[in-house]
Amino acid sequence: MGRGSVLARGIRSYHRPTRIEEAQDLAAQGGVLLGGGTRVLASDAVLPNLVDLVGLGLSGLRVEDGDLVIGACTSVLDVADFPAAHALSAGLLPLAIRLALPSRLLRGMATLGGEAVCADPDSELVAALLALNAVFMVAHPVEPRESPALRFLSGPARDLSGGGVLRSVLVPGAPDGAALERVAALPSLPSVVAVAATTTLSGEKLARVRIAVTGLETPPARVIDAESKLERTSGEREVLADAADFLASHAPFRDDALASASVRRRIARALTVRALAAAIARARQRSPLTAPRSRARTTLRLPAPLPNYTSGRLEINVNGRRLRAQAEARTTLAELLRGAGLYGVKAGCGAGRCGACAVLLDGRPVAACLTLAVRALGRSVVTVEGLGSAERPHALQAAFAEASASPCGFCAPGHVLAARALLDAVDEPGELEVRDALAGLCRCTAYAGSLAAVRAQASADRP
Amino acid sequence: VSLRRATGQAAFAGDHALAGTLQLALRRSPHAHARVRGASGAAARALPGVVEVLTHAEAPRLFGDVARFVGDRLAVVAAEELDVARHASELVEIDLEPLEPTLDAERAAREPSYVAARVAAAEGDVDAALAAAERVVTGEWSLPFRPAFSLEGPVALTWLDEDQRLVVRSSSHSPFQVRGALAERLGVPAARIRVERPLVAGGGLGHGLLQLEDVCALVTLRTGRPAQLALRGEEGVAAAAAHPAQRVRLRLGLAEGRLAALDVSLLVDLGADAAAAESALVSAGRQALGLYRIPHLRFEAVAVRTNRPPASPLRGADGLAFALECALDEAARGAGLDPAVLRRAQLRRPGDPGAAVLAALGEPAGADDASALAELLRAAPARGKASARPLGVVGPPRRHGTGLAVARAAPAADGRAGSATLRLLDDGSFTLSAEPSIAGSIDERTYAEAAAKLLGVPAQRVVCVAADTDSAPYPASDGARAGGAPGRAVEEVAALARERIRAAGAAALGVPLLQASLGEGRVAEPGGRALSFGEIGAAALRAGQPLVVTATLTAAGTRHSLAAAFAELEVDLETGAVEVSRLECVVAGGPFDDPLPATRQVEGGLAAALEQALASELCFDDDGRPLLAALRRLAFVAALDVPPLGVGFVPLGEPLARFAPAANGEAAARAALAALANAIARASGSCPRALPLSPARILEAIAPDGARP
Repeated sequence: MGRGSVLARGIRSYHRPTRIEEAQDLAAQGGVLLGGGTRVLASDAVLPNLVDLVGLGLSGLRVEDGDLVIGACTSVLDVADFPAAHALSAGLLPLAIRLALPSRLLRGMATLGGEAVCADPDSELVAALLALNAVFMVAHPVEPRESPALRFLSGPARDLSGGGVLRSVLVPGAPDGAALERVAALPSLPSVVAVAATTTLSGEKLARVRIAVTGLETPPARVIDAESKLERTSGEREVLADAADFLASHAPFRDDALASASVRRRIARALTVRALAAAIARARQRSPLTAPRSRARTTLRLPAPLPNYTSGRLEINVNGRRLRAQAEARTTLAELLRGAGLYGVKAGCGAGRCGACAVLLDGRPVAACLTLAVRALGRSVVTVEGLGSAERPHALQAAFAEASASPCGFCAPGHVLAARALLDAVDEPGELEVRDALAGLCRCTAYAGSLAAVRAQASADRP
Repeated sequence: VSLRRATGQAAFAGDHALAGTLQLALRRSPHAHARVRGASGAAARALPGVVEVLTHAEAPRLFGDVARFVGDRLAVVAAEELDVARHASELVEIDLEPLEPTLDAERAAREPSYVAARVAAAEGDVDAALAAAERVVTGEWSLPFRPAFSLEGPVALTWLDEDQRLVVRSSSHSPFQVRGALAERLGVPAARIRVERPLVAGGGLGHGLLQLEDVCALVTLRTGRPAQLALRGEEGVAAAAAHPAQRVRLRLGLAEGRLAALDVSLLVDLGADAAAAESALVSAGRQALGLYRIPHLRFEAVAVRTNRPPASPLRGADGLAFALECALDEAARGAGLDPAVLRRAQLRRPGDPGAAVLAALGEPAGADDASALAELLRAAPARGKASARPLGVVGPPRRHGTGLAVARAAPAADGRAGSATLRLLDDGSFTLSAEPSIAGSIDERTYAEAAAKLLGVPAQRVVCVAADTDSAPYPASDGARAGGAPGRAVEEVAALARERIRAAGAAALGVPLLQASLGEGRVAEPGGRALSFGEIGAAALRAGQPLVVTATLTAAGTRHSLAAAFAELEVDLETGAVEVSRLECVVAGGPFDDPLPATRQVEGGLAAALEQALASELCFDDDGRPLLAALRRLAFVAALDVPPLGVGFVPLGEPLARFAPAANGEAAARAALAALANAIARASGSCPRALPLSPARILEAIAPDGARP
């Protein structure tokens, strides 16, 4: 075991509580909370004792008194696909999720709670939660609280010390209009600056405006004094410019290899005007950002409790057959499967970026390098070998070969599985959806072959 | 991709495991430059599970007494488990005395001990011609270090076979180079080493020794056990070869609408290793300067060694070609000339002035790319215009621009070649042994199909196996990235075998060779008698003369790959954001039986150019530490980023043209890189001269800080 691991983070034990009080106790004792794993397991942090939140039943979305309530462990993909998440955020939440995590694979793994707790300085999603004035429901052994976005998102793991567990996120009733503007070197790369804005009208006047900006020395932040310059105005051009000037000159923009603080300031100024103008126009026309198509969602089975796992033999259904294999708490699903000779699960970047290790876990694609093997206990895994063989290929595999996709072939298994999962979930996906689903990297080509293969298969699937 | 690869059945370098394999972890230098005063593995050795610890004290040939860059290897720990090896590597005590690092390439160029190579050549009176020129473009262009990144990071596995020979399986593209280097460093005869050639992931990593194989091999030799070392994620990026940083200073003079003079100086920072420095400079000069007729020409180039990670250009540094294409375009813009027309008027033909300089840079005598380039320069803008919107303002704050550039890329390094062996068995089937092309769209299936087609048998009758250092006929088969050469060797060997079989069949049938015809798996004579391949093969075996044919093709005489690219984009003048709406490329090559693999290769070059032009850079802090934030933040082009692409070929009419050289993709990448920069310059009025052309740089070039556009 351990071959090709990047998860040598000193993981000694794994706990999967089913009651939030247990999770609080473990967290209070220094256990590291694990949501989707895309950030915690990809980090350099030493993680001796992991507390997996997946057993707490904290995933799910519902509308309550006109507010959107999102379980902390809900994947951001499920949030973005939930129709009410679009309606109750004037379209901002799904858009921010897609921009902050431009990989369908990682969106299916990352949880909304995890993204909020990490408070990444460049996250459009964090900016959107600020602009939507979300409220964070924290369970805590001593002081449970409802932490407002301004407070909760001001730093990583705010309000969680001493055993706090984020239970859910409440997004209060919809603003009238919203917009998100960003600048990045390439669409899939983190933005240099992004600005999220929401507006609520009272007659012709702006009753409430919220602006949140990224690219700061701190996590994304609202600029409240800029907001108040707009309230009770009609959002005239000069007023927008005034607010943008204020934001540009007062927010603590970051100086780094990507851009200097002064360049970020200039970009932020332009983006603020655009975001405000767009949000106001949408509010007036009552036309939110384009709605995503709703999808059939696979319901996640709640895994059984697993207290204090350090090592043992796991039984997993792999490609329709039973696999029993030894696994330590730290063993990744990729290591376990490769150890069983399933080399179609590629040992790629180990950080969820390249997508070459993708497998389907209960039908959903996950990066096996960022999935602990113990999470697959009792569940069903499909690897590329399970789709077909060279002698009896799956139609998608044949389409990839036909389209001359991926010459070296290292990325092909990941792309094939990502495509399979997309076509299972979405009928007739559009161009952007296909490109977004093929988020795994290819270093030989421009993805044209893979895209052609998926398009061909999508039209073959059409009844 | 073959079905074998699409189904995950194909095994890459790391897709192999042996029982009892030791896992290795390297201890790396935290300093860009330091002297190793002492090293002790005692504390690491004491950890349960640790089997071997090697430092400068035990293995001075592998771990030197100087750390040359941040991430340079200082020691290795072998343990039963990777976690233990990693932990123990931190316990190795290494006494380092930090030394002043050399991080500034300009300064290194002035210190003879840091200069790895110098090349200079001149013809005509450059200064006088520049003084007399009607228009002079002067400038300095710079290209940063860039990370090289393959999806499968560098990986090596070594073991001893039944005869105690050392077997090596690694992600290097050059098994023979690996064997030679290991023999030298470990003092083992080359014949006692076998280097396998597994599939290697694309992306331009791994030429020559990867700095992993020797460590694994030494552990295996000392312990008798298999040893594996795999670099993943950030470690793979930090420790692997990068693309070198370059600076180009250039003065270009235009007189009467013609290129009159060029004075150019190239500085290449190769980082710590500075291997093959001279050939990098020579080919950089040849590839760029051979495009145009330049009556007065001065070329000065220097490659330096610094305390940065080792960087190696695959086929010469690309900075000179980039700067020249940008400067020429700027001259055309300034003079109000059509950039395609200006370029077409200067294409170099044999006998043109400048020949002495080019000959010194290794240009083959009589090389003539002018007509092919002229054809490309007609085709590329035409493809672009067919889709282009009107030039000029799109409406504030976005402006539209188009750009054009040409490039040529050398075939693989001199003397590299491809070879293949084909044998006929007594059941009428064939085994073909050939090197798989690494970067190319070519694999065993395509080889088998190509050979089968020439032999007139179904593809299933040809079994293709990848050759290793034991079975490949020639060491020259390293560097199969050339792609074309091994593929052409397959075609050549099949053609030769076909003739041998026909001759053997004719002899057995007792007819003159001219009367024997070959087809459908048999050799026939006009009277209707025929022998199957199986019968011919069996007879040959019985006669003690099996039908085995080997062909090898040298790269000598292989022409440069040529490409012209056309880019169309919009620049946001308020934010510096670039949105590429179209990238077109025309490459000299073909006709191909199946143009799809060659097209994919060129498309890959275009995507790589987009990444390089707009985003790719390996940044460092002031102490020479690479700034590798999480891997998920590094700039690698994804499917979402790729604009609509167009690829066309201008046929060269070459007889064996099924396999496109990998250099096609590289020519396309170079042309597209400059085309993108030229389009940005046309859209925004001024293009930064430092890559990458990030939003921040473009914004600063449009309007310096404070000014509003």
